[in-house]
Amino acid sequence: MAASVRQTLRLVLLAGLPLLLVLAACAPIEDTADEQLEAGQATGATEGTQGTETGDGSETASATGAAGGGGSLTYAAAPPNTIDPHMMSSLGDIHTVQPVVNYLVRLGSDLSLQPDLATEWESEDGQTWTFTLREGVTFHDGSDFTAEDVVATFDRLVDPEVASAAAGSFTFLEKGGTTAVDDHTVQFDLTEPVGDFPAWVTAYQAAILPSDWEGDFATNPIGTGPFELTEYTPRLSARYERNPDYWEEGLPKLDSMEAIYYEDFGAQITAIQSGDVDLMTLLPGDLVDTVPAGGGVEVLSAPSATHGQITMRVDMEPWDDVRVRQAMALTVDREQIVEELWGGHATVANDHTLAPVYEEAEALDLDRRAQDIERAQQLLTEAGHPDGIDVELTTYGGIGIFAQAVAEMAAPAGIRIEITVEPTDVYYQHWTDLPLAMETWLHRSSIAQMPSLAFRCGADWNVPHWCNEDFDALIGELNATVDEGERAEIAAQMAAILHEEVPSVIAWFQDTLSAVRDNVSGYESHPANFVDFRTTTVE
Amino acid sequence: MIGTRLRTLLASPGVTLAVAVVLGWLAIAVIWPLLVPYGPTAQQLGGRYAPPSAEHWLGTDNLGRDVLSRILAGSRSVLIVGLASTTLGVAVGTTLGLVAGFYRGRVDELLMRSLDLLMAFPIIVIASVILAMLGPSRLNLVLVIALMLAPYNARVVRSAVLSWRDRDFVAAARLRGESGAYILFRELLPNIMGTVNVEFTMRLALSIFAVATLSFLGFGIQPPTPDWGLMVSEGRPFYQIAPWVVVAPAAAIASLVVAINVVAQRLRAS
Repeated sequence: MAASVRQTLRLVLLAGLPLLLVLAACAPIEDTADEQLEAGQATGATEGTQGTETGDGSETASATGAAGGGGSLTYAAAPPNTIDPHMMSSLGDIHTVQPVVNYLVRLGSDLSLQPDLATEWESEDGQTWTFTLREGVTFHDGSDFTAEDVVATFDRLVDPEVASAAAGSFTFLEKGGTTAVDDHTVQFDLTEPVGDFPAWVTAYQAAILPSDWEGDFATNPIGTGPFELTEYTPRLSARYERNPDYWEEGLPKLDSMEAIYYEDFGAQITAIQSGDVDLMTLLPGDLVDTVPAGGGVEVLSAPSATHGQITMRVDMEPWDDVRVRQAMALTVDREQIVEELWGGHATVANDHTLAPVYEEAEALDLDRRAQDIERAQQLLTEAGHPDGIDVELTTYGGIGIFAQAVAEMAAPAGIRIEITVEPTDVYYQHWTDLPLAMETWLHRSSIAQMPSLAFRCGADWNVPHWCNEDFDALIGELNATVDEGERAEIAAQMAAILHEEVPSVIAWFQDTLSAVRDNVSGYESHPANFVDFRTTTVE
Repeated sequence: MIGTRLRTLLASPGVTLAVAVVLGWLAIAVIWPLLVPYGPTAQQLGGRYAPPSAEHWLGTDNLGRDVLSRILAGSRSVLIVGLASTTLGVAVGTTLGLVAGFYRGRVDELLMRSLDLLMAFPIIVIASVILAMLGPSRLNLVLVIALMLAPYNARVVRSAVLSWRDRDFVAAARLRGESGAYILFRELLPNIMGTVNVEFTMRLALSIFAVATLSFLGFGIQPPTPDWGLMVSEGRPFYQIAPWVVVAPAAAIASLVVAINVVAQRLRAS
């Protein structure tokens, strides 16, 4: 008897397991009235206490506690790998740390450079840069913000022993190259001219920390930012309180925030639809269809230079022949990818990195590379592959769908692609060795940054192993030029070389998407996927 | 003998249904190219997430592919990998079990303790670690699942052998001077074949579930190959707007695994 009960249980379990996979994707939708009520009460309480704190009327940064009452925000983010600001590398890191810190220069959501802890900056030759710092700013521990803190921050950032990912892009700044002229003036002596250096200091790792800060941001999170990090539980959540001494008057508006970490986006989407969270810091573009219109959730879109690259090893067959690479580029139906897979939240790209969001792209005048299977076949035949080629494409989790779409488009031209989709961490252990690879490149604030990371001779992340001396010379020239018009011309020449040589197929620039519930206002999507909650409020 | 066995099997309507389901999937795995209404990898980017309709009985997925066609075509990879890995695993496990049970002593100790060691790790965890190192391919999938099944099988076969090894016919064979291999495979194996058959069927269900799970985790069958586990995994983020993309392959996995288990239990009971 007992045995048969066990057998039945076993069967039920076996039948149930596959269904569990289904259920894992589908969490219950709960009534959120209670939570809203709690938020409302909290808001009322804070409003009551505010009157007493304001009233000194000073225009300086020390005006404090002027606002708040904006409610309490709960937002969904990916779990951080590290929350040491200078070591950040993933979006989860950025979305956890940025509310706590400021930068010298803020990269606005319109890609403009705005004064943050620096009020103005200047350079005559692009090599020596002077930044004037804001006065009256204090850190969360009460100490004053001075030039020494900026020096310590940038010295740590470029210190080879610290090994920040930023050091790889700040190749023109050495430890000791940053000096304090006086308490509120900092000078950067670069090893070579960098015409748009202020854009580089918006790098997300370049958060200004106090000069005496040491060690662990999880236990000692001190910045000058609008929020203080009060509690951090790795892989689960983070809690924030508004900084009552924040230097921008009337900001931030929120009283408190909580970040909740989710491993996968399906769960985040369920959470925002059920009202468990008010905001999603990142909505992957291929999932935009999964957020039904009119469900109380709004998708926020910001055009950006983030893009996918299909990289082809130019030092390996068959990609060593430029005609084969051009053939590959000609097979992609870019409009269809943008319209159908991205649901219109992307722009067609032309196999170069100068996205339309950059001001410098306005001077661009290149023929659009459209799908042309016949021409692709012709090029393959000319290159000695009349029967086509068999190749392997390696990529990782989230963008497998694009790899499959591209493979299907390339097949009629005779480019037969076999796909391997790896876990992301496995992929990035050997991505620069792969003959044919596909990955996403995030938006960079300087137009010189993408080319020098991905296409400079011998660069660490030069996945196609492409090397073009004219191109490298143009990168140097671009860096040395401060004049906007001249920069645009140089950038256009670089784009033309990439378009012609096709070390990578670049078929789209995707918008950065985030999502908010309809009770949230004052939040915008940011092209570089930065978060800025200063003006955000929750009803 | 087989006739009686078949008759006992089909005695209950539940078991008859289970046998029909298993045979049905086997048939589909062979002849799916004749059945599918669309190419299982043919994309239609303009028609993504179409709900079930007369045109697409089970709807379409995130690349506009016909889910029904992918389910039908996907039966082949899951059955090939499942059958191959189970055959290999049971063959290896049975041999080890025969050797350990017949020779006893140090050989037994050494074999069984090594297998215990292997069994101490959760199957899916160790399989995904190995596959991450070897790289995902159908052959590696077969090898890894076989490796995972063999210890359990060896243990069962060993205890079955223990009850036969001291019988007179074994002693007689020894006295005749027969080789160890002869005694193992000609004298002992035929007597425990019933156990091995039940073992094979039960392990097959496990193995099919393992294929689906490993593909779900991204260590198994690679896209765009139609595969049930992979389909569940790829469709999961879209569950809210296109549940059919996930439900259909999950139901396919469940139907096959449960049917095989029902048959296995019936075999064991008889």
